Amino acid sequence: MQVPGVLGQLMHALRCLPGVGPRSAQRMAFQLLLRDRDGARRLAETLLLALDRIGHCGDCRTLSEDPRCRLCADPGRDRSELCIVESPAEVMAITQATGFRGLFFVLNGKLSPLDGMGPAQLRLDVLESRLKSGEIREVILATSTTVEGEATAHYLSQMIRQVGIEVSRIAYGVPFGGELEYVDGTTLAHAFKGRQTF
Amino acid sequence: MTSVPCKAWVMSTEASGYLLHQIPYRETSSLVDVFTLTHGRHRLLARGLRKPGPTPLHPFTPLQLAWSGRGSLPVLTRVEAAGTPLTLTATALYCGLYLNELLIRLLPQEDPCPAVYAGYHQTLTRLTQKDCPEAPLRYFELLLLESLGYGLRLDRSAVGCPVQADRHYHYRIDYGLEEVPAPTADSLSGSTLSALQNHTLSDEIQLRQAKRLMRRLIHHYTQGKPLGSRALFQTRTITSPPA
Ligand SMILES: [Zn+2]
Repeated sequence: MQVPGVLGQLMHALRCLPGVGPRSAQRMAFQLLLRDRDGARRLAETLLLALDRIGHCGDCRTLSEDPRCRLCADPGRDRSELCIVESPAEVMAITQATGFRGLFFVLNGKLSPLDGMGPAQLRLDVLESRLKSGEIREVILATSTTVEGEATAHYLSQMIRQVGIEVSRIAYGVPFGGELEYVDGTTLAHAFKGRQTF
Repeated sequence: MTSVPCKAWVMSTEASGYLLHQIPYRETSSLVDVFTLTHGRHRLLARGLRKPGPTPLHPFTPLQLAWSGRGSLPVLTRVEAAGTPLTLTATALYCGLYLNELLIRLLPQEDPCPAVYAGYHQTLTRLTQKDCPEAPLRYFELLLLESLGYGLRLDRSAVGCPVQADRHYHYRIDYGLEEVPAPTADSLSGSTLSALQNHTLSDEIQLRQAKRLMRRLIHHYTQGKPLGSRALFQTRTITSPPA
């Protein structure tokens, strides 16, 4: 049933959030309008502010309030290492988990022909000018271990090797602390294939 | 697997198949396009599959699938790996994505095509080997077009003359082969035509001529809408930085 008026409009608008169907949209709308009108106003204002202020970093394409994000502007980072990831969330995950001191490039997607994502959609022109700047010596491809992530990594490696920069790809592996018996076949097959000298 | 009480109007079906494409849907579900042996290309609703944790539901992995319900959106009830995943890397991976795109674009829904299924499995297997992928792709394209009913007659000209190895031909869509007096940019030699049909494409010229023919046909039958996977094959060239 279609809810009329502004209430219906709000429920419809909330459904642009990932994982929000009609029922959750209704719950959210009632929560905001009945129980937390201050919170709702704050949300609305912050959302507008964020839309106005946040764009993409000109160097790494991550979300940033400044033309150059904090990480890219940090003089303490090692500018000879570049790690390429699919989304801004992975910048944080890798920085926190690995202590990587280099810089990042965020694709904001991955190559997936059936979803209309081709090389032209990934802003590889920005990446290209980074590669041509001459300061990068090593690129680490940290795309996801899906078929599309793998295709993206291969495409990027072909592109990067042309300028003579060393390229590596994060390893596929068995989850740490995992019993082999419970690891799924695809993961195990990749881990087996990518085994290392010991 | 727990058995579900069978209601007369709920039909449960099992088939071996491959995942072609997966689209996120609602909270944790996906719409999955699968290519199955017995039901052809089929769209199913996969619930709860995007929860963290491994699933065998990946492209290029032989699967055993079960779904229930009929009508517009049957629900995937079980998925198991039915064999070793075919590990495609580098260009072979692009080729695999190209095959999936061809099937999505050209195969009608729920129309069993056992010959195409067997050809798909065989082509993927060949792509995992390190040989040149060109020839297997051509045979698959030909098989697909034939199975769709766009039968290409490659051993006789449209007027019924047997194709001769040292003569040259032009293929006219919806008509057939026409002999041309001399080779042109678009023509095929008789030897290319029989090599394409007999799966013996070997030299550069044959591969190039066969590729041009199949490309033209696929362009025609996909209504000229370009295939996205083709863009992967063109590496972005970087002009070298100033010294
Ligand atoms: Zn940045």
